[in-house]
Amino acid sequence: MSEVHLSTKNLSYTYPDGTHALKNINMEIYKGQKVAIMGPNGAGKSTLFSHFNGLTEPTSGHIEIDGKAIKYDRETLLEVRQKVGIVFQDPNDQLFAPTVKEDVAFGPMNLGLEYEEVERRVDEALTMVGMEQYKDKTPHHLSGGQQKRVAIAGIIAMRPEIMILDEPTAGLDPEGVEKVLNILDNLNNEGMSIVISSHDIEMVNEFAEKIFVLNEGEILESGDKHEIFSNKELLKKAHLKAPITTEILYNLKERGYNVDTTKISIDEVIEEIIKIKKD
Amino acid sequence: MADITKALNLDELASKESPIHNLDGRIKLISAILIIVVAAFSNNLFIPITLEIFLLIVIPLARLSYVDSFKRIAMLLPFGGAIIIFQPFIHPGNVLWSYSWLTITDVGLNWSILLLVRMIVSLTSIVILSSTSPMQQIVASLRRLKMPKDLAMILSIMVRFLFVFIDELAAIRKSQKSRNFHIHSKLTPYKWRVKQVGYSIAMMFVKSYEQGERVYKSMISRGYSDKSDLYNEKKSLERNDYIYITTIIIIIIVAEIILIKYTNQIGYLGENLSIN
Repeated sequence: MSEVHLSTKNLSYTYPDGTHALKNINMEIYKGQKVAIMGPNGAGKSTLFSHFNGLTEPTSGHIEIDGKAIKYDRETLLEVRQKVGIVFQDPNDQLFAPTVKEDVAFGPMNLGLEYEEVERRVDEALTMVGMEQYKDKTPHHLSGGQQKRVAIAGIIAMRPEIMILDEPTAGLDPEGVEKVLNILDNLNNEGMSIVISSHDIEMVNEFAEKIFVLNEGEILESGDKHEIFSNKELLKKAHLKAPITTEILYNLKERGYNVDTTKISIDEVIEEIIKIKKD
Repeated sequence: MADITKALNLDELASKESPIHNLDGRIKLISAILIIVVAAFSNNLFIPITLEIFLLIVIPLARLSYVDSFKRIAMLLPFGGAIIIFQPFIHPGNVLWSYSWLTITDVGLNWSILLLVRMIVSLTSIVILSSTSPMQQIVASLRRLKMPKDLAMILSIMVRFLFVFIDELAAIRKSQKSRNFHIHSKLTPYKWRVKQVGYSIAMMFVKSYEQGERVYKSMISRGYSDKSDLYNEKKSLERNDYIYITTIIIIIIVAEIILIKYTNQIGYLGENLSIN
């Protein structure tokens, strides 16, 4: 948890039409950390993500991976894109090969690996996401949740050190969300740093160790979930909602009860309520 | 929409199980091409008819229905049929029938019969290929047969997104329908309706452009460059594959031998009907 894995230094990006999409972003993501970037639609999350593996070049400022600034030449980019894998929001953008297997093989092939190694990685990645029985299917015929898992497998197969996921749970049913989160936790346990974007408070609450709040291209605040979710002013400013547990605690506080509003988990909140009852 | 939904059905049909479906894609592709080439270069009816008989035996083996297969052939026939229909009238030869300036000659009639038979054989071959191999398999086979990789990539992406766009279009149409839009509706001005259809088509163009951009970005993210190789699953041919292709080659050789040795005995079928 000590080493900085990915960081941005005074990163700004202006679209050719003059829109300031990102303004002076400074963030540090540590090795093995689970990070969430929260913000309303149009806050600049996707634009920020496309900087992380050099898809977009910043207007000013720079990105560092393992303390080294990204250069935008061919070799460096290939290396960066192997280290930093991005899973896009819409699986249809990513799954373009005719079969699941070929799609997962796409990344490793681009790394110039041997055929046998590619095959091994494909099997391994598909097993990790529980999609091995679908390997000869057409991505188009899979459900949304399955497509998402295949998209993740396509990145796993490249063995990145950092995985970036744009809205990984958007549009998935609760079981699908659960499966995706499990996969991410497993990857994290193996040491991978994971960055997601979302506006699903409950999911972020369950998943993230560190949260950045992004609004109109600026980082409003960063911190752990207790710090972020108990800050109602901040959430309001970023057009986000507090988790239901926080709402309950605030409501109790407004009614004059002495509760700790930084508690978030259901267990902690129940403890607080029991405490009130005892008092 | 009928044509589009049919394209979807075809892929479903092509994904079924049968001894023919299970053959290697390359074998099916080569066989189809071989049959078409041989049929297209024969100057007599004997060879194409022999091949057609073989293909008619393949149809039930592939668990395809004759009715549906012939419907498909009939659907494709007009494309070449338009050319064939003029042939009897435009070639010099012995006049068989005439009405004012319109004449049918024996040379022209023979030629058009030959063309028709060649075409039916080719179409049967194509219909069997397309209803026993999903499009993906055909693309993959082309790639295994060393098609240039840029071309293979374009084809492969095209086939993949064809279905995405069919869905997109279906979604647009569904949402229009649910708001009571109908192209033959009498309640709205004709011009307005045409405009709406125009908008839908324009929307499809915009969507495909944007989809293309996003796909390219995601490919770049995974390290794609012009030097990248595509993954081809290694597949070896099985016994059935060899049996199928050998059968076809033997049939062609035997038919050629019969033709050469017994030209006189088989009469009209063995005659050279070509005008060249």
